[in-house]
Amino acid sequence: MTEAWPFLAVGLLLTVLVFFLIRRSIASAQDYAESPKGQDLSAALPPESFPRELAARLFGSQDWEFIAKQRSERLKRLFLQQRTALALSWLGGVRANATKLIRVHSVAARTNSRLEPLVEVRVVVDFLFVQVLCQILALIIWLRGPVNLSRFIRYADDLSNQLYEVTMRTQSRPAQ
Amino acid sequence: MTFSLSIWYATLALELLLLIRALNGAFLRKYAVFYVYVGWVLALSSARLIIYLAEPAYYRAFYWHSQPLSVLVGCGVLWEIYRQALAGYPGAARMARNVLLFSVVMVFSKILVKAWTDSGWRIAETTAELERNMRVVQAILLIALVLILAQYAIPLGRNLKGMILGYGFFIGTSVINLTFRLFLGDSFQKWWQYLQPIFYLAVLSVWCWALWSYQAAPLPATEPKIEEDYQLLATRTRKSLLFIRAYLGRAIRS
Repeated sequence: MTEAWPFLAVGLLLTVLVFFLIRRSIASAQDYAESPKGQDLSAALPPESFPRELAARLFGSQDWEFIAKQRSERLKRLFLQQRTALALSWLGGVRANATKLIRVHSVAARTNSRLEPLVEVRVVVDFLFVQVLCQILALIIWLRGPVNLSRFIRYADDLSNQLYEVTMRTQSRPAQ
Repeated sequence: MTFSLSIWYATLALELLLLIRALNGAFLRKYAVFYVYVGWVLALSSARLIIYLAEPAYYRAFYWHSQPLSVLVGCGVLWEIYRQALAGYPGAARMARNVLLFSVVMVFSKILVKAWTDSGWRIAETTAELERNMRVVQAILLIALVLILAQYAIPLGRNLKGMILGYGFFIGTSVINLTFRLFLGDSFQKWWQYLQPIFYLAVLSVWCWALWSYQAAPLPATEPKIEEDYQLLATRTRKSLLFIRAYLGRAIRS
């Protein structure tokens, strides 16, 4: 019966995918109808989408050190809870920006007869790495909280970089 | 048996209804390949019904001998979905061609390698296995096509949505049913004779709803003509994604 699993998986995957496509096509039709026409990449992601100060403050130790001095366990717990929620929300925003970027790219590329499949695969790989990195970071933030993450983040970043390099090496043409 | 026969009559009626609606609405030619498939299935099912009622002893043999050809004709539905959905999107169509070609090459390479290394290997021991294997190839191609449509957010009209939903559901459930039938043998036959026609009836109901009147996929007439140079577009997108990665790292290290 183990030989049957791949076939059952293909059948199930297709059945689920077509339902997903129909649901997504209804949702994305609404999304694209709401998005401004003629939007380009730079308009899709203005610099204010990535506020540096907010991120620095969110993950910095400055506020935590102040709270820690208050010697109140309840306050510390509350601070960490709220910081975690804020950090996860910030990360969700970054992910949403990456998704918006790939959507604008796809809308422009789908009508372009000069589209190069291999380059397109690289774009998708880049996008997936951002998504994977965000997922790893979300897990670390959820487990450890957003304060003093540097060591863990370096590990996650190195891991994703190694994965990225291995993937890119498997492709024949050099990355641009 | 009365239940099976009533489902059989119902599927014939729905196939006929599909063709009549397309003729009345003058959109039979718009989806010519799809309606050739529906016409073929209607003719074949009618022939099978006549044999079943007149000479039941020949029915089984006739069913399994005519089924592989029916699966081949079904490839036309895949072609129709590809042709209709990507007509106004040359970029996505180019990507789809490459992905589909890659999928076909991978599937046939696997078959060739298996045939080369395993001396006793045959493409299928039974017609049911042959049908299952052909359906799996169709399923892989349809999965690839659906992923392309999702990635490029190709807008689909009601007709096309129904075609994809119906055929995807049909292929998916056929692969699952045939796999169970092959592995469980005659004990699954009782279920098979009910499940397969019920699922097909559901597919025809979806097609009747979706193809009741003509509603083509929206054309990208007002699509923004941005980033004419594809290389420039791809470079900018990749740079932006790299920027996001760097931003994530910088923000959290701070």
